[in-house]
Amino acid sequence: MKKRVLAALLCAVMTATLLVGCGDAQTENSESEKESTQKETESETETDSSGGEDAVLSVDPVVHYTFDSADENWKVVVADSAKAANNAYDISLTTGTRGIVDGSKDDIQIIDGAVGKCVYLNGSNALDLNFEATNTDAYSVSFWVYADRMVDFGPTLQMGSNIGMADGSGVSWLNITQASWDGTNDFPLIWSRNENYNLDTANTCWPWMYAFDGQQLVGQWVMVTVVDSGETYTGANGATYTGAQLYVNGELKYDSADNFNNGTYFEYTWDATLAPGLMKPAEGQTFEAYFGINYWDLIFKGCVDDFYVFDQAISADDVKALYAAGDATVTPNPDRTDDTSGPQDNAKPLLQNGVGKNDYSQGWWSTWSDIWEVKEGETKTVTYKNYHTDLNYQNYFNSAVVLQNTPTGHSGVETDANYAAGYAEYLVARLDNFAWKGDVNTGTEGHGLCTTESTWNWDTFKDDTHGATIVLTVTNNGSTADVVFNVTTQEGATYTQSYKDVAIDGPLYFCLTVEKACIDIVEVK
Amino acid sequence: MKKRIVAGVLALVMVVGLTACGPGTTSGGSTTTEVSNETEEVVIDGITYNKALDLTTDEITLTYFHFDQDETVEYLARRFEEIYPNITVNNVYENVGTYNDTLNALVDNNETPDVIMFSDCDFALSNFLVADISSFWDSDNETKNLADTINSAGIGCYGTDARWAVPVKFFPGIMFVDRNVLKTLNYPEPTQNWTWDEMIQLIRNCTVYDHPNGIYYGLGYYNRLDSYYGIASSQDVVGEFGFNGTEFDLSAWAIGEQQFADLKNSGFVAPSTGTIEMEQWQGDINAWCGATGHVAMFSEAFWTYQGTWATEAFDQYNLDIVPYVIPAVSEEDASTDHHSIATIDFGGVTTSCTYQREAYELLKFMSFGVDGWKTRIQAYNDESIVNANGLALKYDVMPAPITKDEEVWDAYIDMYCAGMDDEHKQLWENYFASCMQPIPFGWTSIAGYWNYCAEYFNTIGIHDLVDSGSRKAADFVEEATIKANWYHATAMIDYFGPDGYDVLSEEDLAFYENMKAENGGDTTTTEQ
Repeated sequence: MKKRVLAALLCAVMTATLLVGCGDAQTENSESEKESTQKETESETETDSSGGEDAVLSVDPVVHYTFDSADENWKVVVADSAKAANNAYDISLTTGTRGIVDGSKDDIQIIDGAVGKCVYLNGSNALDLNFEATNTDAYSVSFWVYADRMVDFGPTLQMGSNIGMADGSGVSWLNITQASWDGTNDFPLIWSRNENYNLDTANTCWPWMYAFDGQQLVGQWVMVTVVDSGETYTGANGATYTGAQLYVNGELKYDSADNFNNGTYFEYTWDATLAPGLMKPAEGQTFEAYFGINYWDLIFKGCVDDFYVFDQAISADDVKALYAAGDATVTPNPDRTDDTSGPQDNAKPLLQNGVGKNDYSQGWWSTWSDIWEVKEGETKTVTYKNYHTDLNYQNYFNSAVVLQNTPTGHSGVETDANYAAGYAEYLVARLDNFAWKGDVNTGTEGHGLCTTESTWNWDTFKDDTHGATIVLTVTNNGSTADVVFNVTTQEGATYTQSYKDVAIDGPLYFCLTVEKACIDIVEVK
Repeated sequence: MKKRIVAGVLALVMVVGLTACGPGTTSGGSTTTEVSNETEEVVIDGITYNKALDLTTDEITLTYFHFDQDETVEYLARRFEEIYPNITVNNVYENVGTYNDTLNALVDNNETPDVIMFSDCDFALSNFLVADISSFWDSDNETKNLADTINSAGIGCYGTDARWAVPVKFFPGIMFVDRNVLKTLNYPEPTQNWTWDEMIQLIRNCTVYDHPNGIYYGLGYYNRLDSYYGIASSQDVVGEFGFNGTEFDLSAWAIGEQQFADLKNSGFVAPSTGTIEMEQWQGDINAWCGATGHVAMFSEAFWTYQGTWATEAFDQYNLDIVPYVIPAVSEEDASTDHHSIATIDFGGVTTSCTYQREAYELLKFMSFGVDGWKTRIQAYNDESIVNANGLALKYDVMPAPITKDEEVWDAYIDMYCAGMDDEHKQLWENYFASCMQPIPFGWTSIAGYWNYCAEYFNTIGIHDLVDSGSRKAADFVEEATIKANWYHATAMIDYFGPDGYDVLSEEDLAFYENMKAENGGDTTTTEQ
């Protein structure tokens, strides 16, 4: 029985941690930094013909996306539920629920925003901000954001190294998100982590900054600026943290240095600041920076504008200048005709006796029907309805039958969760005329295991198999087995897929499994 | 996660001569060892109280450390002081998230409160925080008139012959049904004697994807149904995971677990807030299924009704939410009052308290006692008394009485049902009458349960594995039962054996040592 501990603990930290709204308090960095007099450069005063005027700053950014046109270095990305090859690194190393793959700039809109134009993301795509880490201890990031949809811990800016990978892989990240620790949706929560620090301490470096009187993000523009001073401190738990400031709409909301000066900084395990070194990936680590997407959470829907990265800690005056360059009263007005609440998929079926999740999220080799025995000389018949996803469709997103020699289990590997002693497959056969067994996983060799025959119209295979009624028969001939799928489509068309003369040398059992599909078993005879 | 033994507490116990087993006999403290039940009537603010005559007349201060609704406790504390003018109540509220850590810090600093609340019994017992109050409980007439299972199932005794804790806050288990959805779907309303299968049928039959009004779901969930099923399956079960008072058996739990996972995966359970599915269904990702008018039944917590559905803000949703007892599995059990899971927070008198009789009286006033409940109801009826957010107290996680006192229940129902028509008031009366055999969630009432969950059950992620379809709940029964029994036996030995409270008989000690040996022996690591 799970207890809902995290929210209560975090809430408790909220009540116990002394956060001070520090107004215009200066940091050590700001006292020694450059003059805050305005310095004009051509790039800073240039007015983009398609947008608004850039902020006049005392320092140069290393990255500045105006989003006034698509001709900037950012890219569009989309989620890939099948966790296909990722742009950054081997997706199999991630612990997330998705991959992130290239999308198209044709699928985003550039509309009037807080500073000139902005990008509107319709909930099915996001941005790869496509910049290199600054490799500095100090840095600053700033952007405007307007959400149509935002959930707690969902991403706006998420950047770092190995951010999708498992714990222990040198993961580091900064996530600017939302939380509801005081009962209302407050933005922003600045959450960061760096596993490359404090590897020998019990408490990992996992701090946060939270604007307890924060903004509602949905339906209004908010400018977020995070400044990392680059200076590090050691907290009471032995973890290393960095000095940081959080500005919202140009105003300083939180300064970790104030807590340090007040002596309250190290009182709690979750020190309120940032993890250090987020812009300094270690050798072998991959730095990524996304807006609106990460490897787990709901994709952002809304607008982003005027994104800056600085390789130093910028001043309060520069933050004010960034804010002054914008107009928070501009209401984005995208064409929402094609807006998605996530990608549109086949309608979900209501399963009375289902195998696989009805939202088509079931991955391969992750769930199975009951296992049925077929005695020698007998035929077992299973009638079921077959449904599959329409997203990034592959012909193998369907049901499949597994012929095996044990009444339980789905693996012969002792360390596997579904291990059964003596387990072996005679055949795994899909609807799309492809079969294999064990390590024999090629079409040629699979087909060599039996006699295959199908009457599919491959041009209509996808539509035909969705919602089809399938009568699966498995026959035990003694030394061979026959598998026949008799398929009747929703429109009444009929097809057959068969795998005959499958060699068997012991008891015969079978079950059904699915990939990005689900079935509803009607009858077993 | 091993709980640490609070050496300071035990040391204090030794210094003042208290044993963990007995009430105060120390210098400067109360010498009363039983409740005399001799009282005199005292009327305060229109309420007639039965003031106990066997309390000290010393000027004393008792500290009550709690996570209850603070303004309510403040009201109770001041009233207690009026009844007992020589007793000052130091009301100390602590947020539940930091409660255990703060309490530990107080104990470390020799500032242990006199009366405490707790929910995680492993925390309280492993730190030997609470005293044996059997002599008070057994002699107190009021304790004979509580919800049956408090005594019959030894709730608060943790498998021993002693009483260590009393129920402080009681939230009965409940299923909420939206009658307007049943009417729309032309589905008959169940009776209060419905069975578990009938409830599942309602969920299935009231999930309609092709209704002209949009999708309807049979269940909106807060609590998983497997938590309910184990206790619904048999009257011999007195705790989660099939706990019968001494041993676990997860075989019944597995049925409920698999059933719930199948309902979720097959599409009978409404989307959760913050999901794409919710946005696709309602057009608002942050919508709550309980506000849609398209969900037939909810496994929400008891307090959801008063705190949410009963408020004016929800009038707009055209809901008709009515309560049902969580049904039993068998028709025989369902046809009469039966065990039902409940959320119960507990409280006790600390081992270092020197005025234990007085502390017991304060604890009673704050928890199950009739006089305390009369006071609570007075506060709940006065909606000008509000919490820090300006909300009247009755809407802020208000519990139900665990006493069966008729006067209290009449007043409670009048207060709870204020503004309801006669039909709905009767429905609530019927419901309240049927939920007085509560069985608490495991972490509050079974020694070793939370350690088991933290170190094994949740670590493996059994719920996630079953929900994902990759494993069947039945796959885990054997190992999970072994582990549960090992953790329980270990906790019983640690807490109540010779190195702990030392209240186990030789026979009981041998029983648990044998249970531990049969279920893993000295194994302390989990196998995953």
